[in-house]
Amino acid sequence: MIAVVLGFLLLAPAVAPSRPASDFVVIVNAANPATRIDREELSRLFLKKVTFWGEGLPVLPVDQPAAAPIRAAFSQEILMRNVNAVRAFWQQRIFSGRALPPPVRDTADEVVLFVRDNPGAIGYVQPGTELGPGVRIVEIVDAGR
Amino acid sequence: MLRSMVTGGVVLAIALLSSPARAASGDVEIHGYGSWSYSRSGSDDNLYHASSKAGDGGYHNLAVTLASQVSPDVRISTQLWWEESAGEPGTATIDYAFGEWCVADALKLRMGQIKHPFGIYTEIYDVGTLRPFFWLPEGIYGPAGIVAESYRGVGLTGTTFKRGYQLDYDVYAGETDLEFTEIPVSGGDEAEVGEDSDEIALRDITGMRFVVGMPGVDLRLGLSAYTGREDGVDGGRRSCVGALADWNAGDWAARGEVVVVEQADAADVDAAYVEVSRVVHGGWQVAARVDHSRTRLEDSLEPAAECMLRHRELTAGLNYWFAPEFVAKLSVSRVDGNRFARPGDPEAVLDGGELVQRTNLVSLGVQFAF
Repeated sequence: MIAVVLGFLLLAPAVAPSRPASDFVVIVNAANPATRIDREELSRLFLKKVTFWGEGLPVLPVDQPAAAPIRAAFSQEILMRNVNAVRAFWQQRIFSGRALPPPVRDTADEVVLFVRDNPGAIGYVQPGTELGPGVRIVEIVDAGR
Repeated sequence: MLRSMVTGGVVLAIALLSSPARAASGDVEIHGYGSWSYSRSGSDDNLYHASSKAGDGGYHNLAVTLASQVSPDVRISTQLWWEESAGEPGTATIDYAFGEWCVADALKLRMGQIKHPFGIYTEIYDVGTLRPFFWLPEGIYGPAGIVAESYRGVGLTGTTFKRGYQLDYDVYAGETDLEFTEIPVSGGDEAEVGEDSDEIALRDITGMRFVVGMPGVDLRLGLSAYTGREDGVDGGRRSCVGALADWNAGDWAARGEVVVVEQADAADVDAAYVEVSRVVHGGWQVAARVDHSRTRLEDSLEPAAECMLRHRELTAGLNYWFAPEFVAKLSVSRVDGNRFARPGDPEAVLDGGELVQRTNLVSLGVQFAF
């Protein structure tokens, strides 16, 4: 598993070209060595199917409010299902005792702050959001779809 | 009674104090779910799903789940459950309480009273917002001695990926209690099946579940199995094998399971169901289900009535989803057989020679989660 996670962190340039411009960018803490993330692995991170980065750091995804347009775009494009289906997914995980959903932050600034404060954090914000120091954008690539 | 009321009050207080949108307080997250139903049957001959001919709106339940990520690799979870039917005192229980140590995503160790990983619905047994019908398919999830909501023991679980496939597995060992409705046999001796009890105590269980998620489509296929020793029955071993399929495609969803049970020197059971649902417009959803169960007694046992071994049910449903966490459901069912739809006192009815084999049921209910 570690090898798999490490693999997507260090994806070779041979993988498919990066995705076109979108309604969001994915951000990580500056201490995170990841520069590119496969879209399918990104989905696994946000659905907590993969919970550790390659170097053993816990993955801490942070979400946006269910009614936010950016969450709808992220859910559809990365998680490949609509927001309602994702909410049902988390019900299933919570009540079966399997996992808890990511924390929700109401604004892009709060998401950036969360990512800056947590080395293992990963979030998504609108393109053009002021990131400041300690946070950077990672590129999303399509290796498996 | 007092204990139930106190526990029920605590459960309600926690539920009311928690915020539906962000039910989190410090490191402890609080969630829950509940339901209420009104059910009406075609007659008072048979009891089925808290119904009566005049209509019964007294069934309701509530669960509160507490979970905490104690550290990056340790999580604890517990769930309190409260249930009440008209004319019966409320009962409060602990559904599960266990700790999980995550060695890796592919290897997690669990200890305590843990949700029983069998089939599609055992881990979300009472969560109405995760299914198309108010009631689960009775053939597998009713009092048939097939599934338990939890087991006491240890288990390993994990998820791994390979070429787009996702494998979820569970292996476990421990003990559990299976809900079971006894089957009257000729001569009035029903002790051979069910031991005059509503529960089968199963000890020394070993079990597993493997579920594979297919790449590129929301389809899961899986196998579950367990075997255990029936407490108090000499050499009585109970083994169960099941297969599942669960497919979701936008507005459409379809699920099906088949289970075979072998009970040494007593009774074998096979059960299966298929349910299909579709969101037709806005929050409106239609659903249909076929449910089947058949019990075979060992040769020395003669059932008091053949229909007591059979359950065949056809159900149609219409739901309105206000949100993924709140749904109103209406369903109409037609049941053939008396394995689960049965008179309050089967022996007395059988002595009188009158056993109504058909049962009609209309259910209206709401189910929610937070």
